[in-house]
Amino acid sequence: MPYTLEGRLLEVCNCNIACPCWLGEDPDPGFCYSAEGYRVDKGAIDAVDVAGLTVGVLSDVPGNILAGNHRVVLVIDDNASPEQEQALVDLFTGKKGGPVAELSTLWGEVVAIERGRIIFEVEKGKGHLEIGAYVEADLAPYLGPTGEPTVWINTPFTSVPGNPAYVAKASLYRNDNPKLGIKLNLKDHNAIQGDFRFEHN
Amino acid sequence: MGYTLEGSILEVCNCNVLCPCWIGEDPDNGTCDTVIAYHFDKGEIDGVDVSGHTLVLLAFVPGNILKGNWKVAVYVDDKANEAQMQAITDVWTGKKGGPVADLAGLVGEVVAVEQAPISFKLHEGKGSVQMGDVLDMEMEPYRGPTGEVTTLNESVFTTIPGAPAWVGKASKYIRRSSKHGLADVNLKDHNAIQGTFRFEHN
Repeated sequence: MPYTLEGRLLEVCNCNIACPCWLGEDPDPGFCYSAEGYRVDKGAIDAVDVAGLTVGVLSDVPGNILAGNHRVVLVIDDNASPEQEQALVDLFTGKKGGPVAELSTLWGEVVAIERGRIIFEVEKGKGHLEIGAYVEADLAPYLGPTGEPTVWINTPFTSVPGNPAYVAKASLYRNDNPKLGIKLNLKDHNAIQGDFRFEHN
Repeated sequence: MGYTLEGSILEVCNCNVLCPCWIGEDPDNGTCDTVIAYHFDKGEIDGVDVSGHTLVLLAFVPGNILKGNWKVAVYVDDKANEAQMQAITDVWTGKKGGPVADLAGLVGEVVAVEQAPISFKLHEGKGSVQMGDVLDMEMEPYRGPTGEVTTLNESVFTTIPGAPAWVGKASKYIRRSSKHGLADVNLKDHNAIQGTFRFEHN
């Protein structure tokens, strides 16, 4: 039941800038209402090609991210065929084992699994994200003195050591999710974009 | 009126980890009780060699770091002779112009200029900085899954674009500075970042 997936990860949340969770520390407000998009640029699950699809993970994280018990709504890209959808759901709910299954052990409750329209237009910490009717975010990276984006390298949870994570700010982060009891409309909070590579044989 | 200074900078403060000031944002607590240490691996100020010496600023920052009005006590290591002490403090009080004068423009009040024994032992975010009975600080960096130190690159204040800053946590941050009207600090597991600097002015 192997998979190899490469792509871009975007996390937007209600932390201040530079979300401490990326270093394994507690979220700034003590809890975290986050929206994550995993955009697969290249990859297959078993023999099912899922390149070009995005999975949205909407979470209510009650404390330190590693302490688990996240309540989650999983949104699968509505461009997925039934076969692709099944493969992505199996992957993210841990049925395929490997590193993605480790992620899903942090989930205490999967409140819903749905299909939805996902827009993931994010490059180097700049762009736009929409996940179903729940989430909308606009973000831009911090820049150094020569105009290069500010990045983190080798953060504790990176799945691609050596690759940059772009430290950004969301000028808009709207998250309206009655299933998780979340209603946010924030300006200038955390957004970080990194890469992922998940492999399991 | 020239200087060339390069070396390591350490910033420890009462912010949570990853001090927002490094990317120009407000400190986590609204204000910041910080220690900024500059160790000159190599340096020369108007013909005076200052290699191997260290300057330490104890500061209270009343808001966003760029808004200035810092209250500062300045220390130079006690191995610096009179000429070196003068040269270093002239640069950091802005008298020599250039990029350090821009930094000095953020200071609203200098409450002390003193010398003290300083030990600066840091490598890639790991180590300690001590200063007499005033400072006792230790830091450990965050690490990625392969053991590589977590870095912050291309932050807005870097003076060496492309060079990493090592992102860490101070397992110990003790600052005894109430004699200068600056709050005493005794914290564990707050922000510590080590970077490199290069200041040049002709």
